Amino acid sequence: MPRKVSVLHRVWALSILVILALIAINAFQSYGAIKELVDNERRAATTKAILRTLTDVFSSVQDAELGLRGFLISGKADHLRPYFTALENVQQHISTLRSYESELPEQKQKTNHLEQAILARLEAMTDQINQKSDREDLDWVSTINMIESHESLTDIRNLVSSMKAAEYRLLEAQSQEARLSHNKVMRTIVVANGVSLLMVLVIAILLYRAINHHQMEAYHLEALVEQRTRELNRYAEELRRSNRELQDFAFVASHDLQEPLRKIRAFGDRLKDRYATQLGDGSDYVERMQRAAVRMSALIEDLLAFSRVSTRARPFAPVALNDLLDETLENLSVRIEETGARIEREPLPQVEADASQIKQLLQNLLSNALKFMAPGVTPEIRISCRPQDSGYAIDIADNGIGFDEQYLEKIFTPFQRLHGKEQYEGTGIGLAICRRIVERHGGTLTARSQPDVGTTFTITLPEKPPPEVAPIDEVDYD
Amino acid sequence: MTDERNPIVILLADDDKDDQLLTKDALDESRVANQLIIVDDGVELMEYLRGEGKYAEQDNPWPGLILLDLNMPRKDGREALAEIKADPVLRRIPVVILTTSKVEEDMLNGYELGAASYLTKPVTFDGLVKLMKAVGTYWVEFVELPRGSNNSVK
Repeated sequence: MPRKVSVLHRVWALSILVILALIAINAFQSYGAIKELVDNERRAATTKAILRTLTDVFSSVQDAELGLRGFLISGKADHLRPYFTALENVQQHISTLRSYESELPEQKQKTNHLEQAILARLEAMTDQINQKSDREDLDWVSTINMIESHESLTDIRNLVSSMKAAEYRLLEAQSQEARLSHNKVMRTIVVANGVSLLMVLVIAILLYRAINHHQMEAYHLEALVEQRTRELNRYAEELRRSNRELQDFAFVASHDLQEPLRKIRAFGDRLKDRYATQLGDGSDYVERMQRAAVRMSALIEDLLAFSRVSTRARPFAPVALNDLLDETLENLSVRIEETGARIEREPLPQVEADASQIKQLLQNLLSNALKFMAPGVTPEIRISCRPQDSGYAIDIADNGIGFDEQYLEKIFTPFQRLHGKEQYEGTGIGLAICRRIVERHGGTLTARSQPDVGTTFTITLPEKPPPEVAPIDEVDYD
Repeated sequence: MTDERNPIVILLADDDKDDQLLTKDALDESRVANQLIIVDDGVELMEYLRGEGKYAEQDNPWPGLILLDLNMPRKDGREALAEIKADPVLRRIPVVILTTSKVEEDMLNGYELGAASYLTKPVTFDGLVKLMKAVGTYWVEFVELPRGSNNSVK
């Protein structure tokens, strides 16, 4: 599951990166297109301004010319006013023209030529003014001659015209270019917008699908959880049922199975009592039959005891193991005295546990140690404790007969015994019960042993046992 | 109470034929010579006590003591005991529960319902004989028991 998520994340990151790149390219292209448009506009404006200025320059020269003529003809100084204004303007217009800096390189030179031509013309004009002013009596003919000789502005006009023509061609070229770039800009914008739109659409579809997918996944998960819950519930129900069955079995085992055994024993007694003479040696068979019945009774009882570890379980509570050991040793005091056993003990800690079961555990292990003592050796039992990660390990060591470690697992199996019934009595349930108790507490029970040297049982118990499944209803079958 | 003690009738309700036989043998062995009447379950017990069903046509001696098993088919000992103790006349008869059940709840329930004693069946026959001897000594020899009118339940 986490792997899938990371792949999905990578796909998402990649798509977002691609989309961002596309948007950046779009923006860049749009910016370039608009800049070109603005550039074109600016260039066209410059060209137009140059054209305008050229016209201004020429009309200023014309104005000066007209003023001069007026003056020459009338001799009135009034007429020179436009001439002076024009003089001023011409200079200004030419510097303006220079400042525009045409795109056409030859225009600069032409501007210089124009300026020179204009200056020369103006100088000639100034000469004529001076002549006219100096000679009030200048006759008409010479005046007309002056006018005629200076009338021609052809040079200037031609220059301006050629400059204008060049600028017009430029303008034409510019507008052509502008049209092209306009089209290009339009195309770019349409494509960019189209791509953006497509991207948004793709994102929308992806998002929709992702959301859909998530939703489906959520539904799926929900369904899965529901199914798991149902399964768990069914399992819990099954568990409860099997527990009930176990308890029913316990009842049947304790009551109904014991019943026939009780009768076998009772009628056996009757046989022996009333028909002893007729039975003769046969009473030995009856005896054996009865012993078997007794033994079967014991087996049933033990099986019940084994099942009670879970059916009669009590909740865990803080328990002082020392107190439990005290009580257990007290219970075993007669046996300890009989055997002369030496008990050595270390202080035991407090743990959370089912006190009655731990007591049973200690009782079983200690009575085991007292039971399997080596003949002729004083039993020595050592109970020690050492802390372990999250709990304690308790050793119960004896110097008894021991056993071969290859049978280690056998001794913890119900009704498995390593010795003949005649040698050591018992059904072989004790250690199986011990292991079940320890396992219920989340601990372990193992042993190390050596024949004729002794056995050490090691109980590990957590300080706090793991939480248990829901406790079974308290049923008091016996 | 007259001088010559009219031996009381003991009524045993137990569905188990073996237990009926063993109890009878044990009573014989313990020399409790009282008449023993046996019924098979709670329904028969109530029919006997009320003179109904198959006990309608005959003369049924009034029991001085009822030995009652708990687990029986049709009507078990608990129901029968409750019915006996709910009856204004029958409730005078002491009921001794004789069962294999060692369940504490059964014992408490038995006394709550008005049982005179709660006895568990011993495992050995000797034990049963001893128990029956004790029952005979106590209930037959020492205890004063009420008698039914005309010495019959009918």
